[in-house]
Amino acid sequence: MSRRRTAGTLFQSKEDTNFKEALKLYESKQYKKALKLVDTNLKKKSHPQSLALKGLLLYHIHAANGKNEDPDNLEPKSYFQKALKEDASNPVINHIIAIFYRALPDYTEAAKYYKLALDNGSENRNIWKDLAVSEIQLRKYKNALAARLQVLNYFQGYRANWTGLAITHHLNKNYDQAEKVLTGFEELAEGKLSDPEFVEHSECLLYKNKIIFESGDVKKALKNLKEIEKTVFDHLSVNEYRATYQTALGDHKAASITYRKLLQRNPDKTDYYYLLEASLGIEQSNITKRLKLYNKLEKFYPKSDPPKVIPLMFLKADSKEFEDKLKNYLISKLQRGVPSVFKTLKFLYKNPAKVQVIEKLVLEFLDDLAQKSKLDVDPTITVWTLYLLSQHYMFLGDISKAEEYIDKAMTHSPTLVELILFKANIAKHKGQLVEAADIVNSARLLDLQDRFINCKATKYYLRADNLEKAIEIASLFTKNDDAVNGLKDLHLMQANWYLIEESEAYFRLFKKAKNALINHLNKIDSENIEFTPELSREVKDEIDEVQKLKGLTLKRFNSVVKNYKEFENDQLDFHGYCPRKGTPRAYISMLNWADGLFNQPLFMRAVKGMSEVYLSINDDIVNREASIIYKYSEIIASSASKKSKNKNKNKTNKRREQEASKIIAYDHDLDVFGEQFVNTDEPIEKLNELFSLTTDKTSVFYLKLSFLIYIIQGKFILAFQSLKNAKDILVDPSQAILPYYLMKLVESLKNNTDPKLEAIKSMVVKSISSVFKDFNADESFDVILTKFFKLSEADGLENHYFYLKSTKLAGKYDEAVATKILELINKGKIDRDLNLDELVILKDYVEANGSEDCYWI
Amino acid sequence: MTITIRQATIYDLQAIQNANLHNLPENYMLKYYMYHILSWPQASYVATTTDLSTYEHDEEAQTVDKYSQKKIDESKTDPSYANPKEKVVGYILGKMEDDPNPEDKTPHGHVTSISVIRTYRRMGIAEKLMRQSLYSLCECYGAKYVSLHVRVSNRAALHLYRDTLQFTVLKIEKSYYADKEDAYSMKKELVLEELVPSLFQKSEFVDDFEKDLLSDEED
Repeated sequence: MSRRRTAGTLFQSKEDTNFKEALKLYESKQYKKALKLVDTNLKKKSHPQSLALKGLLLYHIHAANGKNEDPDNLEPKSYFQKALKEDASNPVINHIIAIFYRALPDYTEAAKYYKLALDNGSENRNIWKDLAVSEIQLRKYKNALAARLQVLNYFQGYRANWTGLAITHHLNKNYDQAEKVLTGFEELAEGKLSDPEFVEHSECLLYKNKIIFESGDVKKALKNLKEIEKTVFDHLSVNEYRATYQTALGDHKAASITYRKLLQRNPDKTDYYYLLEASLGIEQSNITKRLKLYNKLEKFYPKSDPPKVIPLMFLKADSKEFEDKLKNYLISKLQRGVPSVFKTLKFLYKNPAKVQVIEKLVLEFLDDLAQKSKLDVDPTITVWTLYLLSQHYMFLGDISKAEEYIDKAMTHSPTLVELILFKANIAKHKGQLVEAADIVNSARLLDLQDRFINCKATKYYLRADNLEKAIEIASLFTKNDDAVNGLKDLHLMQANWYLIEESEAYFRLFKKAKNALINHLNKIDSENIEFTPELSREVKDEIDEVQKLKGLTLKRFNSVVKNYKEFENDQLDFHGYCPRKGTPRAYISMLNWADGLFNQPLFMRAVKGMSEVYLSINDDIVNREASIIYKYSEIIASSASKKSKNKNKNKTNKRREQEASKIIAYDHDLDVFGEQFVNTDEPIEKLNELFSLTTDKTSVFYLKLSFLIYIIQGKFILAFQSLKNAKDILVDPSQAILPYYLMKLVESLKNNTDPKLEAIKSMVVKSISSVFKDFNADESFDVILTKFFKLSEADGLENHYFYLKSTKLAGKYDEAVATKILELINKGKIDRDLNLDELVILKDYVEANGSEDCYWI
Repeated sequence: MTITIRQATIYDLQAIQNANLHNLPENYMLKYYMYHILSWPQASYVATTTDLSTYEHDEEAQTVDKYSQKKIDESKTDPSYANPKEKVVGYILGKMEDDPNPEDKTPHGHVTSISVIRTYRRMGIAEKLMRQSLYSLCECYGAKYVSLHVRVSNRAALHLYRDTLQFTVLKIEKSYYADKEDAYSMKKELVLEELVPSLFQKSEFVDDFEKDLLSDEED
């Protein structure tokens, strides 16, 4: 590590010897012993290298007790600063700091210090490898290339370094260079490979072939494929590549043969069937030809699903062939007691004529079963048929028939888990969430060994906002060790499905508690109820409960975010591992997958939930003076004596300690209740930080949220730009949502009094009219309302909601629409139109007569 | 919707992890799944339900109403979806033995985990997953045999491995699982030609890759 080798060991100081010894101890993870040596060095005089190492050692020692989770813990960094102050160009110090940042992880800083160590003359060539890894993690492929070139330069004897360089060329889109490097090693290794190396060799040959194809030279890729075929083991890839190349070159006949080979190897892959059709030049509208093809394929592959199901898609509903094929399919599944038959046919329900055929066939089949003598019929067939009919009617919205058939089925077999599950599903659709959960739980009790039904019960209890019961059940299958429940294990195992459902349950509970509190305070206020010490304590408890639920909502949503960050970080080891293992193709896929992580729907679902809360925190800050909660919080704070405050605090602390053991998420969790999320003065900054992780800026959700953030920040041009982009991607631009947001923009422009923004504001007003035809920002909201909003009978809740919000903006809150919304909700529209959280937001809004601001992002 | 069996990719891992968390008590962090797919990319498979409307449009179908549109959007936020058109309903996670000091130096494979979601059982999905994985382990990595563990109480799985797939029970491992249940340790010798998955379609008709698939003549 040292550049001052010339001094030699002979003249080495005591400090240097100690330092070397400490480094060795660090490498074997004996941090405390190493710290002792370093501290000895630092007792008498300064030793900058020891200062740096002390920082790194403290970081690792803190990791064991959770202190690193504390964002205010700056201790390790302070030692680095001291070390750098004394010897900034010392490569050993630079290297130690780089290692710290890599562990943190902060790859930008890590790369910076690796680079510094090298620039300052470090002779440790392995630093080039670490630098390359950091640069790739940061997606700075140019920098990574420079480092990987050095690595190969220094360590030519390892294939990994050739493969690693080729990958880095590939990432830089230097296809020729990548190919050349791979060929270079092949030539060196010719005839020298040993048996265990052939798997790696096979993968590298296929990788090169893929690169040739990506470079655009398809002919060369096809030729190369033929050359390597004998040496390559993975014939699935060979044939998939070949078919792609043949198609790209227009040789459809050859491609069709290749797809037939692929089908023989795996007749259960749906893609192959459609690709085979295309290579045979069959048009999708040519039903006769397609039917002929699929009849033949079904004979070859009678145990596979696609040749039986695809024709159900393309055959006409009134054809005999459709009815015959459907009948065969249905009846064979029913006879085998396949529970998922409805799910696999659900795609046909977009076609009403086909739905009728299904209904007719199943009813006939049920009749036949009834005709036959009981001895001839396996009773379970009747049960599965009744089950199917129940699902069928449920999908069509005929709840009473659905219930009739599921009840009949359950009379036959009262203990069949699938039936009970569906019974619960019906209850859920009727809005009976608590009953539904209890029904699923009764099924769970019938099969305690099955985790699937356990998870179902957990999920239903979460939907019913019964968190205690949910975690109690889930904990039957988790590793609980010394914890009171399985919550920590669910976090450790990254059970995102549980975490997101629990977050949303907390969100609903938070909303409920907050509304109850506001109603309570309004009552006290308007009826002049005496604010006795008892009442004061009661209200204080209610306020604390709202704060707690708000914190836990953000905390749990953040657990999902944290898992996604962990996934991103999980790539790190593979940058070095995959070139060594010889799996470059899978590695490239990993990079692409990771690039899209923060655009994934589940991640966005967490962002959505957190943004609702952060925006409401921002509202609370902006409207603090007018807030009734704030008013009473102040009254309580000023009235309580210091003594009673302390007494109460002790009591609350005890209660919270008990509660904490049930909801703690991690070992060394320093913020069990998520207070650091709630007690922020900068909710929009926090939201932005989270939101900036996503790279896909084209979704409606993204545009809506960015619009809301921009108007809060007074960035009107950007806010307008978001709406303009949203207009282009909305499925149905006539929906009320767009004019509502335009009105909101106009309102913000009017409310903004900053004279410096005058020019910008008038520019935005002009742009609005030019992009959104007929929308004149100078017109009154009244006029805009009649011009742009037309509600129809068929409109869903979402449209009603945005219309209602617009009437509120126009100062004409439309009671009739509010009533209509409540009516729609009570009709059992839950789930058909909205998810539960949107429903909560909607109900809140209507029930508070539009006074509580809320978001629907 | 068709049931598809196909090789797993890194894009499937989160949905596989989700299926594993729903079905089994032995769970792993995502990095362990990544380790499998990045070490032995050919060894793991998934079963998915595949939405056919991404391939073709039924002309008789009514235009998608707002309700179904909403349903489609929502389904994407369900962690069991690997992508908007495919939901993962089963998986097999396979690997080669990579213990630096293995008991047996013969190259051989191991099934780390396999499961099918309860509502998709009785369709032969586990068998198909297993056959694809065994074929790939043998073809790509030269596995001479494959081993696995199964709970002694899991009769359905035992039936599949022993009777359908011809695994043999080597021994009972006492208290193998965290809850102290015993495991059967099982093994199957692999011979590539005998493993071709389509053999088990047991059809009298076999594609010879030559005959015109659209001709009228009967086979």
